[in-house]
Amino acid sequence: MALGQNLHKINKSFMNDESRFKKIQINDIPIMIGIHDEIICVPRGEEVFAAAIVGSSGTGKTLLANRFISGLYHQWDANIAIMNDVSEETYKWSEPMTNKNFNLLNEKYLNQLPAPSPLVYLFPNSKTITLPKDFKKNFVKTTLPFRDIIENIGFYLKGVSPDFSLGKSELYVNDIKEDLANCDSVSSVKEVLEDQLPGQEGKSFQAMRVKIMTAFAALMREEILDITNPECPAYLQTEGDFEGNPLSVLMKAGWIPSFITSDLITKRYKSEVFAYYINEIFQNNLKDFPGEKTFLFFDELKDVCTRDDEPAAQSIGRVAARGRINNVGLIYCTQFYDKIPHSVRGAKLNYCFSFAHSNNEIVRQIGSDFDLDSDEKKKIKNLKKFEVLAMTNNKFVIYRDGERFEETKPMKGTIFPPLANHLKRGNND
Amino acid sequence: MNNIYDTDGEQISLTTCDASFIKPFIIVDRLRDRELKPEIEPFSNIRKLKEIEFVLYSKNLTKKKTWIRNQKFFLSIKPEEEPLEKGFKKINKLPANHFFEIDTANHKIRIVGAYSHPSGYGDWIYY
Repeated sequence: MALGQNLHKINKSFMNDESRFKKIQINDIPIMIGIHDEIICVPRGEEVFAAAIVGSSGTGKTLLANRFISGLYHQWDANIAIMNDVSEETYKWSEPMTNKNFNLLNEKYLNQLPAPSPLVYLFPNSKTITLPKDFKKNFVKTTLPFRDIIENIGFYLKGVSPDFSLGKSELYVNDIKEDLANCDSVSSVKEVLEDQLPGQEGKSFQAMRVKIMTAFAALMREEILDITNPECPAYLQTEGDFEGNPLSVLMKAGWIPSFITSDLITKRYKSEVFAYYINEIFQNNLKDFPGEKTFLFFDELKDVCTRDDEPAAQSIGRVAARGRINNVGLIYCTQFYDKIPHSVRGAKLNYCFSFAHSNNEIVRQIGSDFDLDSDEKKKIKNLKKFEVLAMTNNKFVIYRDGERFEETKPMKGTIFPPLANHLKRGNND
Repeated sequence: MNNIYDTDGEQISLTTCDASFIKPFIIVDRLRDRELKPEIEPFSNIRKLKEIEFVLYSKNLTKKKTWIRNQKFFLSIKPEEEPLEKGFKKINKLPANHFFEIDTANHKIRIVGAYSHPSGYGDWIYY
């Protein structure tokens, strides 16, 4: 560039570097490099979107998700909640990328340097979870709000013990809900139950008392109701007095919460816990984040829900179908596109990024959802590692030779690696 | 980033993240248009095609899809790395009255001739 400056010094009519080289800021999210070296992006729009990242294990799904999330956060100022980190992969995402080849690629094409994502890790309160040794990351331990559980006792009880129902006995619990909700310890819950349920003396109502006490004992045993540990708040607050569930409060404060679910995933009530957080964010988004976009990210959706009758599937289905109205977007990764509950997959996806897949049924279903011809379906099967076929019911934005244009056709390319670090599993996925 | 508190007013200690993110951008040389003035060279040696890692394919056509009389197939070129698609057959000989055009300034190539496209000129493909 020095030559241009020198020429300009000699004669002002010569072009200097500032007027010769034009900087074009990319506000769209770069996803991949196309086969003609073009930059393929998800366009910045007014509305949120629903996207699926599909592929076999080790093909690059979570690498793409990692980059997508940092782009949404930094470029679009969107709120992001990572709703299920089952394999504790996101610990690395709060560090800058260390892979030299990845960094060279990002710098060459996009002039971007490695950058961490501002993650805070959310651990569900449980005696069975173990934090990594010398864990120096930002984290919060959390539990569900006691009041919410009491007010929806039948819903949570079903999660703890699917065959158990309070039946008509729930009426007696309803009578003392307010007193239960004001309890601040497990022993005070027991006291309220013992004192206020009918049948304290005598034989009548004993069966009902036993049933209710057994139900509460089951909830206590599963620790879903742990209200005694002050290190595990059900709600948090920001400096600006914003109070809410920990995921929303962390997003409000400018962080990306990552819900560590390696322990939760083995619990019977996991679906109810997922449903609680998804519903809280979805229902309150317009009030909590007026004018802002929020995206929920699920890694391996099959670990969250597989059947339509699960509470989590219904909640995610609502986000997929009506997220646009509440400004809540959805991104999920899956190896098992064919196992996604109908309530989720039935809603129209705006984008699908398919890595290599050899399963004929999955390729057929993707092809059917995005009107792929037989050649394009074949391409999915023959993709190499980190290669992706991107499909849209909307449009992509392409940058080539300094020009920006739109494309609606399926595009093949190689993903841009993330700027935040990524867990190495021998194959970088 | 705001501070976070639990509902008892106790601050939750979080270490601020280094905000080193650079928004993506590209640099375009305004003089590049002049540099990109096409420099087209025709050639018909298939070995030269292989040097830039391209392959010549033919695909049989049904009579309904042909565009000239007695046509049985059409010709196309693709990067070697692209998978062979159904119905396409690699060929090592260019039919008579066909040749390639390579634009060395813009790094693109196409096939020219009656069987390449109804217009006689195949699509430009970047290499």
